Amino acid sequence: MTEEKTRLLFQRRPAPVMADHRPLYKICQFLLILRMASRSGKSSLPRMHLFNWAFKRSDRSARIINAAKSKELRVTAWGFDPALAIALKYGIAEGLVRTVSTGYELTDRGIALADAVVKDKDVFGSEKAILISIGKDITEGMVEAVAKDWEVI
Amino acid sequence: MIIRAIKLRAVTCKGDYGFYFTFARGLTVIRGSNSSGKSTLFNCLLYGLGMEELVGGKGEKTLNYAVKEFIEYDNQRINIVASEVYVELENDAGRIVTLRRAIRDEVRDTKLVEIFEGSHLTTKAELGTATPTYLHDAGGAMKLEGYHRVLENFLGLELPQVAKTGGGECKLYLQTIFAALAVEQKRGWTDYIANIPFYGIRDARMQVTQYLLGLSVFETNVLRSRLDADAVAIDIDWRTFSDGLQREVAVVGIVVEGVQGRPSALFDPAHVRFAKQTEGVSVPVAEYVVQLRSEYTALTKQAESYSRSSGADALKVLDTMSEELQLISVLHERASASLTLQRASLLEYETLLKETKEDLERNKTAAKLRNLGAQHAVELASGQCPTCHQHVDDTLLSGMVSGPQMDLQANIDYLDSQRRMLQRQIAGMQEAVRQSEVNVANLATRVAAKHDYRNALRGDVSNGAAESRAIVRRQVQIELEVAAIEKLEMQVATHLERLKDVARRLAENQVARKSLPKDTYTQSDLARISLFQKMFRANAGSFGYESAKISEIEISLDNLTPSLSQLELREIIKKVPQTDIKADSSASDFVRLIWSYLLALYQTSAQSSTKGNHPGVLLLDEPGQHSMRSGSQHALLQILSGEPNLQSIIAASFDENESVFKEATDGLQYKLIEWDGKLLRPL
Repeated sequence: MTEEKTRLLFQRRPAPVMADHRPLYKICQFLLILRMASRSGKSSLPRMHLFNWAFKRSDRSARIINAAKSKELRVTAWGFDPALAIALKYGIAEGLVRTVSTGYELTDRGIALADAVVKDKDVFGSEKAILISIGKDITEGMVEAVAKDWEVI
Repeated sequence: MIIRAIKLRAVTCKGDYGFYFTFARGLTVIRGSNSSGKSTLFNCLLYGLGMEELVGGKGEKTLNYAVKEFIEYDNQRINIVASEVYVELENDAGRIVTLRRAIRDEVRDTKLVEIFEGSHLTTKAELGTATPTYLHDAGGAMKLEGYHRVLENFLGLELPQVAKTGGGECKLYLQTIFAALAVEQKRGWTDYIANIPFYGIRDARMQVTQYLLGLSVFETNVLRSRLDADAVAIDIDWRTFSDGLQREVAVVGIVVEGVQGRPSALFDPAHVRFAKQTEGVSVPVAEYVVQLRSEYTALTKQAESYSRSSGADALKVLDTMSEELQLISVLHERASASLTLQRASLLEYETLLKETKEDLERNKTAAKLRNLGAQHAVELASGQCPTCHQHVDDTLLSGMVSGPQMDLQANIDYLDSQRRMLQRQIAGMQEAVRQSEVNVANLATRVAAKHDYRNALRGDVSNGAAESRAIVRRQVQIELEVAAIEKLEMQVATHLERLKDVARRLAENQVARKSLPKDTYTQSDLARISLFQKMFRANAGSFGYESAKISEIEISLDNLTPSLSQLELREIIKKVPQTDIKADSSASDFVRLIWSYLLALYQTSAQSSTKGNHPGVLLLDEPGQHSMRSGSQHALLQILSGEPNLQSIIAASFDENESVFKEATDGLQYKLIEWDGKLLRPL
């Protein structure tokens, strides 16, 4: 048997990335949460995760909007997205947010960028619509009331 | 347009106070020292014309207290009970109207402008019945009773639709045009056409200039948008008609070949084919009818011999018929099943397309945000770590996925090609579903027909009738089908006629589109702009502009403002060295450019060869800004008085100096308006 020299060459092509995982996208998204739906530009981490989780599907955002209206959060648990955590780290390093005892707070630079994003009509149309209808009605208290139940006794 | 006269009437407890002035058809000079009421008169005139937005603000709040609250006269303070302003206007056709607008009144709103026919002020004509018009209400420029709409008609203008910055269209409001005709003194001399009120019109100043110069861009734009709207209508009509056609023929199980889903100018009804589909084979309709007819004749023959044939023959026919029926039933079932599958996968593809579109939108957002981030000096926007300044991947989860990742642009391109692929797939799918639907309907009618026929045969076998009911039934079926097809042919003809008409409209649309000018400006537009530039330079020269070489100033085609080596010409801080001691500051030189600009707009528009849309009125409040030298003011007044068809009303203080006034007006033809003391006095 003659053994022919055959070689297969694989060339790895770049894989697509979800827009949700682009650093600037995620950063600007949480800037919007802090600017449009949080009191004095401050929010706790679980609360930001709640919004981030709600943005991903329309049925979730509908639940959050309802919760804001009824002043009661009827969501037992929500996902914690590592992408948000990393984006927050980047945001701190960029000087757009800073950590405070209760969570995160917008810096002046963060406010400037957030306002630019708010002003731009072409970006985050659905997110802005959700945040506008929620307003600042999802309070830390509501989030805490749910998160309390997670603790193992 | 000529402003013939103005009258202000203020009712007080001590009788009527106010003022009344007539204006010349050429140059009128309103002279008064500072705070004598020049600007009050000027602003009252704008208010009376419904143009107070040029002063900044709406309604009576733009006016001085002296015309609405109290009058100081003979050291007395007299409260005003009510006040109103009259303005008499004449248009190019010689029609004269008097406008009346309340400034302060218990009864009449300040948004109301009453229009009376005739010259009430100058000839004391009776005030007849008023036409009430309104301003500052939404739609005031569009509604028939809107004041600005009425004024627009009166002036014989037809204002074009223009693009807004936020998308959409609106009218180029009359107030924006007036900003180039009337310059008030507070902000008016800070820029070329500085006082255009904000309506969100994109490049408002350029649009106003284009309109006054009568450039054809608006016509081209209107034409283009009309063609676009037509193209959409053509597309919709085509779809409606071709869908109607498909639906009608599908009822009798016929498919159309040669009618595309999208309109095409090459469409020819002669190339449209109709075919009957049976078991996947398509037979042209004409041939199918022939088949049906021959079957009919065969059946007639069979019927004649029927009485002689035995029941065994009938049984044999019944057997074959049952077999055929079974076969068709199976086919029908299969076709229905595949149709259901096709519909399901179409739905799936549509969901996929929707998701891809959303994804694409998100990615475009991400790209935009990166630019925005770069503007705010976010380091990640340029792919650098904010802490260590090393390169970082453009993904948050780079630690969790291996292998290369697409960059943002590649990702957008990738999604875009996905989207296009899905769209093509869906279009093909829709076509396939439509064909299957025809097929299923066709098979269903055939199953029903065969079923009836078989039942009739069974009856024939069981009762042994002298005449076969089955044959008669089948013949009736054939007759009905042939009749239906013949009727269809007539209906189809009208459908095809309609489609042909749509194709003709499309061809016309395409031809018209081709003949649209490719560049923004046509040859004649460019000629107008070059004339405008010539006029502008000549004016600047006679006004003594010297901050830059006049021959180097050009009217930029990008924004139609004077520019020097591609930069918009405004104030020049560094000046060319010169010997003239009386040299003005460069600020006053900029004002000279504004004069030149406003005048050149009129001059170009007034040329009979390049007739534009300028109404022929210039109202300038204190044009001699920044201690303008009197020679320049003289040059301005000279040019204004020399224009035969231009009415100009100039309010100026001439530095409160008799010699400056004399110098500026020396040897000119003009009407002078001046008064001693206060502007408002007993009428």
